[in-house]
Amino acid sequence: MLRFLLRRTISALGLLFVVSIVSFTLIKAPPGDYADYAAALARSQGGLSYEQSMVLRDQLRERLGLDKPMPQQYLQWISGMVLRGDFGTSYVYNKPVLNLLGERFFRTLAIAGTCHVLATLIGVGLGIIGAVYQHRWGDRIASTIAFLGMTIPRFFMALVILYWLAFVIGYPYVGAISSREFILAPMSFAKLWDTLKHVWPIIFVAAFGGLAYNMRVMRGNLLDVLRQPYIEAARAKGVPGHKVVLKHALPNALHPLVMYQGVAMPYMLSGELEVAIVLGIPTIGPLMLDSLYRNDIWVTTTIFLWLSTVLVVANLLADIALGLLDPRVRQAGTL
Amino acid sequence: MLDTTPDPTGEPIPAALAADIAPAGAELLADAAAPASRTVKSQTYLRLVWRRFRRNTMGMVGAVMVALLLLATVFADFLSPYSPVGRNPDAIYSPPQSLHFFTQDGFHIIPFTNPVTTEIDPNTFATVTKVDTDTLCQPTFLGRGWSYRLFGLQLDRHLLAAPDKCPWNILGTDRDGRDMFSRLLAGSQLTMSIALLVVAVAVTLGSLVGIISGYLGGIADHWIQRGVEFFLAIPEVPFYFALVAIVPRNLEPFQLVLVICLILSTLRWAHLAREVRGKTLAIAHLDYVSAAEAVGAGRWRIVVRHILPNVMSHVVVATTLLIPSIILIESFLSFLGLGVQPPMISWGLLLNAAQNIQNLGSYPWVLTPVAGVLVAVMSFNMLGDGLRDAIDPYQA
Repeated sequence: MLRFLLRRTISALGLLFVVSIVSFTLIKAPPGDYADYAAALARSQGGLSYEQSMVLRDQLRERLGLDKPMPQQYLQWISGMVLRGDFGTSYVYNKPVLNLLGERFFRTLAIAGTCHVLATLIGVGLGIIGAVYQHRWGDRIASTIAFLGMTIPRFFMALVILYWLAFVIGYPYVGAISSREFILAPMSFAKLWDTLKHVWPIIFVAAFGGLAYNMRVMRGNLLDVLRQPYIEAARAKGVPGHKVVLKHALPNALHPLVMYQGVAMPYMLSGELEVAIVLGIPTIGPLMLDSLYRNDIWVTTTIFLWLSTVLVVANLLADIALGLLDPRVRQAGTL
Repeated sequence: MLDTTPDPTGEPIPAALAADIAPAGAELLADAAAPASRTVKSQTYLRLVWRRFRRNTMGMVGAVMVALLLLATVFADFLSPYSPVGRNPDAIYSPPQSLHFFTQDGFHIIPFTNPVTTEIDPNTFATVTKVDTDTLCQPTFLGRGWSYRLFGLQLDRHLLAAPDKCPWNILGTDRDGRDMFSRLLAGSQLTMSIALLVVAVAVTLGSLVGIISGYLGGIADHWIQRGVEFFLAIPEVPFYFALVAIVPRNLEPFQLVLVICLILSTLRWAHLAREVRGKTLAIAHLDYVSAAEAVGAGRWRIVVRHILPNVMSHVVVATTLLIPSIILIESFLSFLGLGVQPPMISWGLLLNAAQNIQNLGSYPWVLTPVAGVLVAVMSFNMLGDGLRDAIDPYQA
């Protein structure tokens, strides 16, 4: 088991390394750097002549280390992040990116996590119904729900909900994370409830889309397991129907679903982003879109880096869970 | 089970293995059995798939809808009554007009609309809408309208050409008074082209990488799979956002479309590569491949002639299921104003008008292009699901 853990962790670290290189390339890809930006600012607002601003630019480059070769700059960047928590500065807000992201990031994680749990539970439930009542009404209804969740565009669902809330029923909790009186209030049950009133559309839309995949995976696996001889043996022995499904078949059908969890998380994060952007709820999504509109590359890239890191960790956790659950997975690594 | 990493399809590997062995094996059996009993004609794999697919109602409905959608896309200009870029300053944001078939003197086969005028009541200043039921706005069947090019021909006939005098905007108009119905049809062309181009790139890349990785095995397979894992681990929407961020802003609209296609094809191939690799691994160890190797067939020949045909069915299904997902993501990017730029027309770009909540509240019909997205996504998904069930005709 230890070896397995070690191998998985090393490969996750490798992934993180590649992700960081991609992020760094993205930061460096647009023409111009911070020194150019500062020089342009000095010309337009500080009244410097072109030559003076060029001197300023070169001084800045030297001071910030932007004149060094790329690998060295990369090392500087990554050590700044890991050791000092320095994720760069937002050009637009002139604030450290870390301060900008802080709270919003955890909101996104909390909402996406909730969606994930809900989508998994409901999806598994529907999957069981679909498999047990194959080709009957229960299956048809579960499959239809899954199909609709998969095909209806999330931003469209969000738009329709927004239209309905804002123009049809005049719902007062649109487009914010919490009501006025709760903004500075400490966390309490009332505040949580108020937040839920604001964010339920996100949870609803993202979970609705995500349960489809869970349902399909669960239904397929359970059907495969239910066809196996040991299930027939259990039935022949006289074990009641629900017990056969829940106690004998279900545990064996869960493995692929656990594998799938690492893949499902990106879907939930993307879903959260999409719906939050449409509804204008201040989580990571609108911030990232805003940074795109305003060319604030540090913010864009840092968000990308953080979200990728979350996914790599989620994948690692899913792998470990699978290893705990299934000795074959653990053993396969040592062969 | 050589690989311990999660299979993104979530399919248990033994089932997938069985699915692949079955067609090849049974084909051999069918061939062997044919000379013995001449009365039974052996059925090809394709025929069996078709037989199974035909019984799947959802799949058949999907196939018909996909066919209609593609036809509508190709003949979009012929079908649109108005030019998608023709502005009408008198009909800015005019709401969808209801279609009628009956007048006092009986039934009209071509639906007509009645012109609507809005006036302000001089006393209350409330807007009063009046429907002029005496005037019929009826398009002419196969009449002359705006001219367009189709297959290199300059044409001006339309299925229903717009009437001259009065408006026939069945889905309303946008902020420049352009006919939404015609724009919806025109938008299908770009949206579908992007989806097909991206899927073509992703499928080619994915199946190539998958086959090579699965067939070579060993250390090459290991490293290719690490690469694939990287692409699978990337969060999709943020990655596209980050890539859009570094696209130069001064590109021509057409160049931008190509760049968008490139961006969208960066991730989707990985999933397919995983699946194809799994199938290839299963096939590469079958006897008939060993036999081909023993006879002295080259690697290239084995991959192209012996492995590719058996993987092909899964690739076809993956292609059908990839198209809707590309349509969805392209619409979302264009909806946010990050994708295709005007004067190009795509469904997502049309929906861009709905991003403004005031617009959405006052003119809810700016949402109609979503119908195109919905129909396309649903029909391709139905077709893909049907095909997926049908490609394994030997299963119970």
